[in-house]
Amino acid sequence: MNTVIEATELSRWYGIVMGLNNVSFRVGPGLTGLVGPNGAGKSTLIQIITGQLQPSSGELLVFGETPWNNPRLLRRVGYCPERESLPVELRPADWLRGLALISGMSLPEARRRGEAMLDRVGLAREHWRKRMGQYSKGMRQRVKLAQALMHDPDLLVLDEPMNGLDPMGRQEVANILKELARKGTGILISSHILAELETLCGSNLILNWGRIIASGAQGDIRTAVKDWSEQLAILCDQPETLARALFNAGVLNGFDLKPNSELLVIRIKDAETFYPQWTRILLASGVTVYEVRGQSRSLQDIFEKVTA
Amino acid sequence: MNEPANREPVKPGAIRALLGLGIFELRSRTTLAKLAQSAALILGIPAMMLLVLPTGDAKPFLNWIVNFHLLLVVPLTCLTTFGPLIRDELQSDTLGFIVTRPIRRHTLYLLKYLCTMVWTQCMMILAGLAFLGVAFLKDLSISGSAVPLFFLSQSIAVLAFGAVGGLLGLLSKKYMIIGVLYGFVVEVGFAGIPTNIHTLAISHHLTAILGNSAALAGHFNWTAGSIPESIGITAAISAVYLTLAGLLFTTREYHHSDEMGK
Repeated sequence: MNTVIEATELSRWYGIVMGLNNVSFRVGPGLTGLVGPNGAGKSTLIQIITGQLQPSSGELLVFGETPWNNPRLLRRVGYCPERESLPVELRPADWLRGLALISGMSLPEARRRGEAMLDRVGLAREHWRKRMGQYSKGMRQRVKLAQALMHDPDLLVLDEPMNGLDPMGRQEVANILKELARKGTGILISSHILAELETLCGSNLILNWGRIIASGAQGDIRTAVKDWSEQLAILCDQPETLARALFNAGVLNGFDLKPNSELLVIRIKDAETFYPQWTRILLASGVTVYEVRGQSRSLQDIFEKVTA
Repeated sequence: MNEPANREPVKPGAIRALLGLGIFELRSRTTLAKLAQSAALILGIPAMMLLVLPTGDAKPFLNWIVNFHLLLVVPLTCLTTFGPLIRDELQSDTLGFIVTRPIRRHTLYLLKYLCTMVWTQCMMILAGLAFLGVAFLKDLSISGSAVPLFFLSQSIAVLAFGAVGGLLGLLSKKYMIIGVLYGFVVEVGFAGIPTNIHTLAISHHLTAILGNSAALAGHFNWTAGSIPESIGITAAISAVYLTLAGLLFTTREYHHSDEMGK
């Protein structure tokens, strides 16, 4: 895989507080989700990637270069911070034009790109004349995204880009990001809306207490997470008997029985040891099974599991 | 890079960045509230002078424009204008949008300083013109050389005190207090010591320049100094402060919540 971001034993302290603790990972092109509770180290990681902070130890490379005070690299990076703050006295077109000029575009190109990006993120033209202090949360979010996209970055780092957007806005932004990812742009998104990350991102980094708890594609994370409980929903004539048989065989982490129902939901301890025994236990129990459904666990479930 | 064929390549550089920061400076300072503040700065003192100065007597007028305006109001204005150069961006949480652009941090700091300096110079030139208006209305005769020397020393004051204000603003959120202390120690204290240490005081060089006007030298009992030497030393002092500030901005990390507490 082409590596966009590579961290090796990366740590960052704030005095005695550990922001990131010896993390190593790789991020390739396409969409990658950055997941973690508050204080997990997401913002620290994002700020190191965008050259706002330096590592205390270890190394972080973006396209093979260190980001701190590196204009050549920063040409290729777009950044959309989480906070809603924008220069309230400025109008969006002026702000984007100024940022485009600082990014190295000529004045006509800066003007053209600024307007094109405002159109692209769906900020209605009637709002362009307003100062950004008058903007709603969703409008600010769109302008923030526009400034990140303006110089066609090869890596986009987005901190909570969907915050404040209505469902249509979220869909529009998701479409923009998918399109960019198809063209080969690396996109790192931090979000609390895990369902959205799940549909958007092929892979994820899960952070907690400054450590990478799990990383990779969702399927790989499920496999890698220790004690991960795969879940099966079984429709059968004697759910209690089957539950007891499986539990006694020591292959379950737990199960749910619903009164007056033929449904049994089981949480498997270890898939590798469960499936070879499953048929034998079932036959021995004498239970008739009508249907077995694997319940795919969401990113939310994974997140809850690994951060528990 | 994702560079469509029909797009011209980006060429990050100081000129384009200066233009971009200039747009920010101009747009953010031309809101109604900010323009009203600027108008008050430009016209406030001249209006007071119109009210209190006697007609036909130039001496009180000179005291106002030199002792009060040039040596007190200009340094304080520079402190309040240049001190928040970076701190305002931190406070409004917009610094991240700029420092993640492809421009070196010290260049960014110098360009921001330059933009603010041009704006402040314009404000001060307008204030100077308002003083001339007061002189005209009060029927005061000001000798010809005093006027250009006043504008020259005022522009040097903005350049140098701006550099001081910018550095102090980066050092601490209590830059106003530190600035006033600096003023007492260096600009008042050192300037009054009759050894070479007074060359560290910007005010010493301003008075040395103004001393080339016979009217001002006579009134304030100043001796004329070499104008090129005073300009050179003040420019060197400014360069030192700007270099220190640039280095500080380059090496320092800024976290909004932490930094606002320092």
